[in-house]
Amino acid sequence: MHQFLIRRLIQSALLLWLLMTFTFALTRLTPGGPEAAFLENPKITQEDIARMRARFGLDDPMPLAYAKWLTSAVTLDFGRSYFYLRPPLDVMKDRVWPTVQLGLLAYCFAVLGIPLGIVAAFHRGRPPDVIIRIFTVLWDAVPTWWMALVIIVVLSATIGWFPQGQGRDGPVDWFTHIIFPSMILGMGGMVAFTRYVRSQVLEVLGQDYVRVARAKGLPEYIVTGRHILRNSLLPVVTLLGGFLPSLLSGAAITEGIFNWPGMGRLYLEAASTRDYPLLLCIITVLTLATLIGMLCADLLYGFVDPRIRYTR
Amino acid sequence: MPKFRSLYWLASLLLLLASCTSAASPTQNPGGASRKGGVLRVATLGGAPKVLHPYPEPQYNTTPLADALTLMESGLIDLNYDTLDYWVNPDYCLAKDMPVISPDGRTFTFTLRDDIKWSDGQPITSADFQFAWDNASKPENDFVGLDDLERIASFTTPDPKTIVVTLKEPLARFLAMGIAAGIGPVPKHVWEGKPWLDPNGNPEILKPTVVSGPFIPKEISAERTTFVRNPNYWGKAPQLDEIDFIAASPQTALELAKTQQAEWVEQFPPSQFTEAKQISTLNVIDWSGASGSYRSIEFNLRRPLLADKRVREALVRAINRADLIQFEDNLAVPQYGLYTEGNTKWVNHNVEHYDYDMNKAKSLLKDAGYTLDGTVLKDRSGQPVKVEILFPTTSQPRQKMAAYLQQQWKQLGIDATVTGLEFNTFVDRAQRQKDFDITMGSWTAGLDPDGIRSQIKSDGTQNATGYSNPRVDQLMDQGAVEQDEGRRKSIYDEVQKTVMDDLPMFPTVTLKNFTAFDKKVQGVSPSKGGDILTANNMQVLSWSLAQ
Amino acid sequence: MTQVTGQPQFSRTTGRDGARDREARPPKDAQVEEIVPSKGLYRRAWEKFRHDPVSVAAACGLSLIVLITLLGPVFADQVLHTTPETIMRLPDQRVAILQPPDSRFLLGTDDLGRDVLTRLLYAGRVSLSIGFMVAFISIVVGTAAGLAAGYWGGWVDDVINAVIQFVFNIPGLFVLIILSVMFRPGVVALAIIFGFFFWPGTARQVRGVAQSVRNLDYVVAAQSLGASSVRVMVRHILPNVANIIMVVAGFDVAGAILGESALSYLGFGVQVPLSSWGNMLSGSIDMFHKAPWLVYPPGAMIFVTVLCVVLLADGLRDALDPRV
Repeated sequence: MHQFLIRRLIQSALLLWLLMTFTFALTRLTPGGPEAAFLENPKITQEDIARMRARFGLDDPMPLAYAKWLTSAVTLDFGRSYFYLRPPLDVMKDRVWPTVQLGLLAYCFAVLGIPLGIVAAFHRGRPPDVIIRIFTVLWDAVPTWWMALVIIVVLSATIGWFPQGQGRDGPVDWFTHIIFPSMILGMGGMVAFTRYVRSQVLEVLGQDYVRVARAKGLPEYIVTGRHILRNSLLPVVTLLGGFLPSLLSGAAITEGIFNWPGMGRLYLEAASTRDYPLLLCIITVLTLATLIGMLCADLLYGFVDPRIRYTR
Repeated sequence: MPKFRSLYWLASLLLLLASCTSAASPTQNPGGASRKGGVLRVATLGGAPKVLHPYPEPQYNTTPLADALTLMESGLIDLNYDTLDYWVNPDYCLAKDMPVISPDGRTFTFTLRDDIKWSDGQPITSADFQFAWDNASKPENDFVGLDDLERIASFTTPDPKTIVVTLKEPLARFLAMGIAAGIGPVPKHVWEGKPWLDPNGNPEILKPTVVSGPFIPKEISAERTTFVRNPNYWGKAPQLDEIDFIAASPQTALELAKTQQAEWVEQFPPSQFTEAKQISTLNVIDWSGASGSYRSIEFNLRRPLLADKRVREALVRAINRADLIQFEDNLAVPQYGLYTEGNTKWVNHNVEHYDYDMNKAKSLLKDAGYTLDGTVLKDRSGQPVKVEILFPTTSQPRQKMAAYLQQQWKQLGIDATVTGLEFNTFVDRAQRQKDFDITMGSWTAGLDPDGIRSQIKSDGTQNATGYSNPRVDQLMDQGAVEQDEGRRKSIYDEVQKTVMDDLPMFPTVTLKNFTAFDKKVQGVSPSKGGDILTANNMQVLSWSLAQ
Repeated sequence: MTQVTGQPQFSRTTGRDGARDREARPPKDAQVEEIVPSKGLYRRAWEKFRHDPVSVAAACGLSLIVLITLLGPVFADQVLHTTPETIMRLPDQRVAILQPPDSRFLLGTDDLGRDVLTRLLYAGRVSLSIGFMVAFISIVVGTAAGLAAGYWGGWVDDVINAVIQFVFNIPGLFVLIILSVMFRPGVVALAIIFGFFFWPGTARQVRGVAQSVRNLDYVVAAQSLGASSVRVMVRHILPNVANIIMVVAGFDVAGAILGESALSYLGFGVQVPLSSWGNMLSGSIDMFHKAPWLVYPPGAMIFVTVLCVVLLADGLRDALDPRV
């Protein structure tokens, strides 16, 4: 186990470095840097552009720029955002808490999918299963951004209000502002969980050991909890691995529509405006989150299904 | 319970009294005049200004920043958007009077008013202007307006109330005035010793605590930017207590006003204009500014096909401006020349219109040596004629126009491909690499005719077409320094006529400005300026909310 | 966990490959000990599928949609004599902007005067091809990778895992922006990019299940009988994984079609003048109140298509489940 852990940690560090380098290379190799936005402005002269590029170090030869950036990243400095003028981590700091709030609440919605999937599997073919399947399928077929806009229009037309931004006047206000964006974000996850869990539970239900457990006279909740649930969790764990980064990267579109100050929007903005220091920092953090998430998922596999052994 | 009943009644009576009084009496200001108060919430598509530096680097020079600076800053003189000339308005201008101009037209002497002060009570003196000039004029500080500042030879402040600006060469009066009065004060007592551009050492850059204007920033976040009334403002006190800019997406901006979550929708998609007009609580205004933005088609004159003027004329003759106005939801007017119709001082109506005429287009192509083979136009060597139209994907209107061009030119037999590029990439190809056949331009013509120099002159920095006419270059140089207004007009008349005869680009339509206010907001009316906040003689000072 | 090897449920011949097992559950009313040949997994799956109304409806629906999108452009060209780009004019020569549906324009016209029905038909090709191509790429590559990683473990697992993690972490949005720079993302390019980002998800799911199955008795038995790794993977592990693949496939097609619409909303994705349901939907959103006929048709097409795909995937998954 220790060996496995160490191996994975080394792998992850290597991967992180590789991805950071890859992204850095991308930023250098693409045309149209941050100055492109101003080329249309008649007040900007070529000298202005040249000066801007020099200050951002955009004309440094690639190895030099890379070395500079890598050292700054290692010291957690990451340079200065071109457009925010502050260290990228500082800019991200303001967005982390709202993003985590949104993500956690969305996750709570998503996790509801697990019991739904179990219920659907248990009652396969009968009304509860059909209803749940219809619901998940319907939600799945609609683009989230469209759903978000529809909700806003509906709310606006019916109660004459819709949430935008964070709610600051007390817990009720906070709740009414966060419930809709998190619901929209969480539904996608809920649908995924429901479907995967249903599929796995159906697999498990037909197993001999379940029948044996029941034949032994074990109460249903023990059969469900100890035998069925644990064995159905495999795909859930897989999905979990991807959840940590999605928590942080947020959903750029939903955040934009609900004016939620989240990380997703920041990422989109940094990519569109080519704010390289900020972009590279966000990507590094996201990568780290994903790697950690996957490592946890893999460790959880071993716990959930003892047959999976990490040998050698 | 009887014991508490009297207490209860007393409490509610007090509450009632309190609410009556606060509603009835408007808040008093030290000046004695009653002020109406209120919070104006603005739905804006622009996002938050990232940096609130009065002398921003190019990447910060955005509309949100312009809005913010209008509210936070004061200038020496201002443009009067009704007369389209400079003036000194005692409500908000720092100068006592218009500057004294030396006979050679190069030196401008400004005298400051006696009662001007910063929001922290300190007086505004010429030292604050000198400090600003000393820093903004340094090239390493990368001020976006540096090229204007470079036309100033010297900037001195002989006494605390006097500022003397000398230009390197005598420029046309209007131009010169704008440059000379372009420096606004920066609070030296707060900024001195701190880095000019680094917010780590100078947090004033991100959020000024000491300002010279009617409003002070309170909160700057991704969600909203709020400004509160400056209680120590030296000028005419604003009626509003607070202005909040709320970030909105194009689909939700109008909804915010509908649901009473915003009183002013600064921008919203033109396609929602008719819908907005039907909302009973909103007052939707549209007007044509003197400086507006217009759409144009730009030809890359370096390409052999487009180097021939007959081809260019044929292409533009296939365009019907009336169609394009329809595409802009009728919120546009035809644009024929380099300056918008609203710029009555300078526009030359006597330019070639190139009205829609498909037959003329076809015959011109024939004259130029192109033949129609079935439905395909071919050149002399039998090659089918192809052009590529470039547009930025972020702009829906330009996208529509590009598709329209494709269809119209198809009727001429030309195979036009439409290429949409992400904005930064589009600008890179169009402006930097100059790798395009046709591009959809969107220009903002300023008030002064010299403003188009960068697009028209042979060495202009925004000259993507490759247009080069020595006569035009000469005229532009002359116009910039011409002191006599009459002679200046005839110079620019000739420029307009010549450029439109040469047809390196084809202006199509000018967009009308439009915005929507809740009917509760009073005192709002547009002028000839293009923006109702920043180009409207500080009308925002008179805006108020009806209770 | 699972014991599905393609054999009927109560067979005692697990571990032997070949579907020709004669032992089967005797019919209820059999008097004689008749040996009835078992039907095999896929045959029975077809039977089950055939009798499930939802799955059949979904299959029919999808086929109908595919048919419409294949034939649609031909129909538009030959019968309606329209193209998706022609700007239509009213009798008075004004552009027919935002005309509500009437006898001439069955689904109305858009803000550029183009016929919505025609554009919808052409757009179907784009959206469907993207959806199916992406699912195909994702399943083929993902299953192969997942099987290899889950079955062999060891350094193969490490390498594939590393690749999966690498791809997972590539900043997708940024890459898409860049690709819109290098080449305009046409349909195939977009499908390849999406497929490239989707396959790791499939691979991880497949890997998970494969790992749990590889130590089962019958797999070990097959190996010790000398079956080659590939054979074991395909005949023994793959069927177990089939269920998960069905679910994933459903998500992939849906995800690709919906993802394309999200990209269009942001301004990337399939570029105008090429129309896809996604960019028709996102491009019309601003005009929802003014011109609802622009929003409902592409929205409905996306909705129905994704619905059918997902129900079909579910139905296939249930059908392939040998336990019912």
